[in-house]
Amino acid sequence: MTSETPVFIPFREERLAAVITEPDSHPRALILLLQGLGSPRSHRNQLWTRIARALAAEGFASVRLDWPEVGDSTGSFPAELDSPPAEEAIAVTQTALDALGLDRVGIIGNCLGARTALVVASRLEACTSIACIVEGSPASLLRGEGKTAPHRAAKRMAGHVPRLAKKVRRILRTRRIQPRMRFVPEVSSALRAADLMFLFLGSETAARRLERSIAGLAGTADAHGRAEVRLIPTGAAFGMRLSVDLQPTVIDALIEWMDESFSLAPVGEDHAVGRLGVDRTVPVHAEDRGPVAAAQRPDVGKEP
Amino acid sequence: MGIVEEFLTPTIGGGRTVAVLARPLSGTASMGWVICHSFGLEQVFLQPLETPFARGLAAAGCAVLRFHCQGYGDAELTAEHISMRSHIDDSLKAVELLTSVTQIDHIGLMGARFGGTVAALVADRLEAQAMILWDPIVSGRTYMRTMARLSVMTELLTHRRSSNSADPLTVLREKGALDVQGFPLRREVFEEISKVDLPSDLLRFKGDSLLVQVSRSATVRPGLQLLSHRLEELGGNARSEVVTDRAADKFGRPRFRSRAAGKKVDTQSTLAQSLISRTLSWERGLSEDRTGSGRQR
Repeated sequence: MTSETPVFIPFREERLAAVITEPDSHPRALILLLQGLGSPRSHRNQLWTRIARALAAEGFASVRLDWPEVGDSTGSFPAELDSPPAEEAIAVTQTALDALGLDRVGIIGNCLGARTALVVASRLEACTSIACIVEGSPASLLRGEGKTAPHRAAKRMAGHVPRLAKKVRRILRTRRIQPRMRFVPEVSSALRAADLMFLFLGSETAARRLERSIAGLAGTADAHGRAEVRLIPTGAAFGMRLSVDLQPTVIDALIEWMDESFSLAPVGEDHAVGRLGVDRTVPVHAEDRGPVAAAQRPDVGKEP
Repeated sequence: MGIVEEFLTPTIGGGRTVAVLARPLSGTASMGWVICHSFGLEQVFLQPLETPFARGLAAAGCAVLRFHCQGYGDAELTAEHISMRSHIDDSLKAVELLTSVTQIDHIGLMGARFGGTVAALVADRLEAQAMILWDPIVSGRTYMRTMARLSVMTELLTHRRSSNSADPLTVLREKGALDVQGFPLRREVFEEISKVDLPSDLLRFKGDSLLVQVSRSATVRPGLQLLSHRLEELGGNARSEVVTDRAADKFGRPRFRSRAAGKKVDTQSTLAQSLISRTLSWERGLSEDRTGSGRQR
């Protein structure tokens, strides 16, 4: 039977509240669950709680924590994507690893949690797999949230002349002048250390664009991890308030990624982009496999 | 702060759940408070106010228990088990737990929004000594209509369409549930909560109560006035306060908003501080009354 243990973990002068979930057998690995700012450790609509239990059913232990100022943790931190609370996450992960006698970590995160996951992966040697939930836009993973100086200038100008605003917005959206996605440096750092999957909730067009961009990074010489984009087609998820029917799909997709990542068997062709056994999850490049598929590497022979 | 907090893992409402007991570091707590959380996603959005308030009460010499009803947070059962009755039954069990752990017999109930409604009904049933209600839901019918409107928004945003041009109540009848921002609001629960009329549902509470309205305007809403009159009628001592704030309409909704360059701003920090400090000030008066140092009512 799955067991859950709530704990207060000392961190500097503060205490971080966390819940450690254990399967009934020795765990395959520890999965760290990191939510966005403003959500407690169970996430909205118990999403993390349910994922933790589904992970336990697959033999994984997990730990979920409250950020400072949220839930039962104490302390505070700057509410900025550029200063994610990675130290807090590492402290909690290390405590859970020690308590469970494990040395392998996977991370699932969204928004601020996704940014934190990338930093943790580059600092924590035990981390070999990351799943970032991306809702509609990967802005939180892009430099300047994806807005370039010309974008900002055009928007400012449109703000002064309201009649122009609509036209400017339309022009800015056209494919022709869409700026190249410039990921925050943490994405490259994470790819040096771990496999990375973006679970994209949104349109196929946007997912394809994200896939093209991440392929550029994953194909570089110092990126040892494989990168994938998996798509769950939906409208807006507006702040991880995922619709009732979408929640099981998201949970299944994340469990399947972790199961693949920590599978004992070497990852082969069958694990190519988008091979998800979930009806509503569709591969981004189902037919041609695309650049991300080409960039993936087998799990064996990974450099430290 | 001079307090100590510990996790408890009681069995409440047919499953295990997680609770936090906050107590003063030294001395014996003079009164115990149970915090009843709100309904659906409001539970998530109001928790960051309830936790510092619980710590403030503990620092003021009280034992405070906050916990997850079944279907919320770390509780064993999921949202399908949530109902008006489960909120009330789980809160009654939480009071039992607090009493057995601390041996305190002076108990108060506290809650915000729907949690305030639950706190009032539990306090009434137990004839508790005190209650604190932050912007309580006085009419269950009005509250459920708001939820129904939110479900339309969920449908529009998620599927970029409305599944049914009929009103959400028709959808509720046909499908048996509404999707309210990912929270499954079942028809039975909708009907159960719609029947709540807090002033007439209170039958015996004679204790002290603080009713706080959170609004942009200083005018006390008729529902809160009715509630206050009802409490006085029952023989209790009710005090109404209005906390005015520009962010009042966001109470029970997400606190953080994105600003430029990846910064997030807490839109309710002023509101939270004001609400907590005024409530703690009222509780200090209550505490002085209890210890006999006197307060003019």
